[in-house]
Amino acid sequence: MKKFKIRGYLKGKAVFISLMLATAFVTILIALFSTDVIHATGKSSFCGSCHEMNTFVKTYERDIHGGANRVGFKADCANCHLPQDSKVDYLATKVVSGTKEVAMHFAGKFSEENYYKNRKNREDFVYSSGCISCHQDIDNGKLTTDNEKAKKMHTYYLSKKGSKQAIECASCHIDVGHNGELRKELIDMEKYLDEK
Amino acid sequence: MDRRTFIKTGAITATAAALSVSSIAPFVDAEENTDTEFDEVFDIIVVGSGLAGTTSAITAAEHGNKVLVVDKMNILGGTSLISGLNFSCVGSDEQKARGIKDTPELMAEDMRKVSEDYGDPELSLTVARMTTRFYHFLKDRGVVFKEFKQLGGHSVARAVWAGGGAFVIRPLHAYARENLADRLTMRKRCKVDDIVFENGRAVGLKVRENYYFDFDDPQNDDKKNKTGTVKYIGAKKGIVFASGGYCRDKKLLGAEADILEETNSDANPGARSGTMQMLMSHGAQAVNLSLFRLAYPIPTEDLMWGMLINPDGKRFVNEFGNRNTIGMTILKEKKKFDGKAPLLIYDQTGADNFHDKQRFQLSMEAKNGYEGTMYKFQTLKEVAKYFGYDPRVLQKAVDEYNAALDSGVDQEFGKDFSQMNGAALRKAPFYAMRLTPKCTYTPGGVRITKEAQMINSATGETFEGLFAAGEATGGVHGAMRLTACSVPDCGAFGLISGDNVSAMKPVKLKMKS
Amino acid sequence: MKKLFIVLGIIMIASIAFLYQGMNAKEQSKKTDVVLPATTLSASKLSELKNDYPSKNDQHKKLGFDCVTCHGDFKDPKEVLPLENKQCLTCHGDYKKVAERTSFLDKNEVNPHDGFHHKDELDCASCHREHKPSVNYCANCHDTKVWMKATP
Repeated sequence: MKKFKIRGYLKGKAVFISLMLATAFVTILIALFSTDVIHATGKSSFCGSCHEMNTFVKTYERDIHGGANRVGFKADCANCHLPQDSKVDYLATKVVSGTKEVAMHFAGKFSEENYYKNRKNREDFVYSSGCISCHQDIDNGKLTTDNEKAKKMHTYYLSKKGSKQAIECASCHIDVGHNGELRKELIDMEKYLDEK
Repeated sequence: MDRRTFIKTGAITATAAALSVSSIAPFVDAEENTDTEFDEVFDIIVVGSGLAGTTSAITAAEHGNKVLVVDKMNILGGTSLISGLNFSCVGSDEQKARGIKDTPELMAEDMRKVSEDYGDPELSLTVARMTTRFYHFLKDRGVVFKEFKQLGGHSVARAVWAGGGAFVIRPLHAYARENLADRLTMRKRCKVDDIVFENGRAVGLKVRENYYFDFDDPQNDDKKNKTGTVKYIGAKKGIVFASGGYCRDKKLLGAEADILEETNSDANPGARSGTMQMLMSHGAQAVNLSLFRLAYPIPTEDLMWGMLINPDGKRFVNEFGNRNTIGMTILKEKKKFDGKAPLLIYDQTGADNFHDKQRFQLSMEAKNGYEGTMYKFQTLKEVAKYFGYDPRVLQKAVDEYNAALDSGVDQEFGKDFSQMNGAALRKAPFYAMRLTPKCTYTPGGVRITKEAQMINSATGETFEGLFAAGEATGGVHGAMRLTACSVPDCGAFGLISGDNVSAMKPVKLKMKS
Repeated sequence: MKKLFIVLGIIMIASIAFLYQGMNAKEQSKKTDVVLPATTLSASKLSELKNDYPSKNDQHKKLGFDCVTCHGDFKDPKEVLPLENKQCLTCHGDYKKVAERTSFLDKNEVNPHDGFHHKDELDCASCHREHKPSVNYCANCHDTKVWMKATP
């Protein structure tokens, strides 16, 4: 008797919970793919709301791309750290990196040292398509500059683009977006020496 | 054997010193090219960009001459840039403010006291007499003196200090860049190969531009390094050689005194004898080449707080002895053990007793020059492990040393234990370092008159158009250069050579068309 | 049952995203028809030289530079000199910027780009070498292993 009651009770509850979850899921889906939310969760203020992003936000805010320029223009985290060449790529990368970061956040596995080491893989998380979505002259070969070497290097970039030896913007612009301070901020001299 | 007798046996005939080296660089007749076509022509060329060269060049440029400074190294400033550059000066504002009575004669006398009668007293006096002018020369050109000190061996307080060589050389170079840009050119990575003589007068240099000093094989750089493109540069009035000493030239040091090959040096890596050998090949007289000056990463008077043992774990010297006796004994001991330096150990009390805490700290931070680093250990076992001793051997040495300390008498080496102020090898932590004396200065070099002219050993007369200044010269200091007396030497003969080369009658030179 | 579907659904979406992402690990960009200006040296000669003088610098290797990228055009490899500062700095900004980037070394006053003795007057090539292992210039006079790692 008792058993039966519990089961019935559970069954009722389960339907309720299922319904709730379903609604939540649909809402999340709609919300997730609605432009507003996508935008909101790509803002630096959103990314910076987790404390582990402090260093990155701080150095970003001092950078030209973070508003330290004459007109106060700001690029958002997602402008550079998510691919901008297709909507699908953008969303997929967003889901994946978002999931990873949330997992990392709750697992408490964050460490600046890992970020320091990960700098060498920067081509994997700084997207050239992001840079080019603003700096279009680089991609269409109309770059104007007095610096001959800059011209030469961007021609070099274009000549390799799409080939096996392709290089990315971040391959050379190693400190872009964080005012060249990231390395200094992420590393403790003592630890650095211990590494050897 | 003390240093003095050592030197005497090392160079029994002082005049033979030049000969002993000229055998390495065979005597060649001066190049008598009567019509060399030069790539460039200046009024004056100064070889070397350290304190002497810079002073000479600025002085000559201020007399209105077009001056070129060449330096073979990848950086301008020579050893001066990385030296302490304490400046022993008679008549400084600092002395006046304190009412200190001092005369050039008194300073020269102090310098002669440690010279062991080597060298030329007249040169010492010339140096001392020029200090006031050099003091104002530096001050007027942006050098700021931060400290005034009484240093060992000086009968009155007379040393002024700008904070290190960088704080002297950098302002001078900046001054030259800003005020003499139209007349004074400084060129690094430009090596002098030879002098061009015309009718017996030095009128130019054969140099190599874009010369890259071979840091991978510095010992053979002078001989084997062929980098750079040859150029002939004319000097209408004359050439000043301020090409520095040869502290890093173990071949020459070793040829003069075998044991000196064991010394360390943290002078400019280019401090070698190539230029001097070239000068001697033209007959320039070199004197006092056997002389040297030893120093340690930590002050000599702070060696006494510790124990020095050889790689076998045996003591071999009185740690409270004088600089040169300890130095020579260490060098000999090092040679016995295939170049392995002895170990110096302190306990905490010994470390606390240091007179010069700043240099102790530098050593702990590994900033005290090559092999000048001291390490800290909690136990003697750790010391033994780090320096490759058998822990039992080290423990035995320590026990014996402590026992001797307790007895109050050092039977073996006669160290005065009454001065130890509690320093033993008991109180952890322990501090230890390998100790090798450094060769920090070479008092020998080309002989000059008090007018900074180079002397030809063949004729006994001065070379026309050739001057020398600074550590490149010999005979100013004698056996042991007194502390803080290299700066006045560089300054005095820098100024004198700058004046005198400016006063030369210019010759007409042909340019390559 | 429904709950299961929902959980499965979420997992599905996530895994599709992960899968898609995994397949496109690197951003795909279109090939361009831009070609580098011709040099005195033929392409085959350049790749031959690249084998003879390989780069030891991981970063530069990754960028796949040819000799001429840094050295400029030349005829005979024997006439090529070590780079001058200004050549390195066309890409690496200016000396001050380099010093700032490496300012984590300042802690012990031993940043070679803003050091006690040499400030900004050392040549890049005094330490950094492309075709031989780099060296530490400070080690000519100091025990640097205590303050510095290997020179990149």
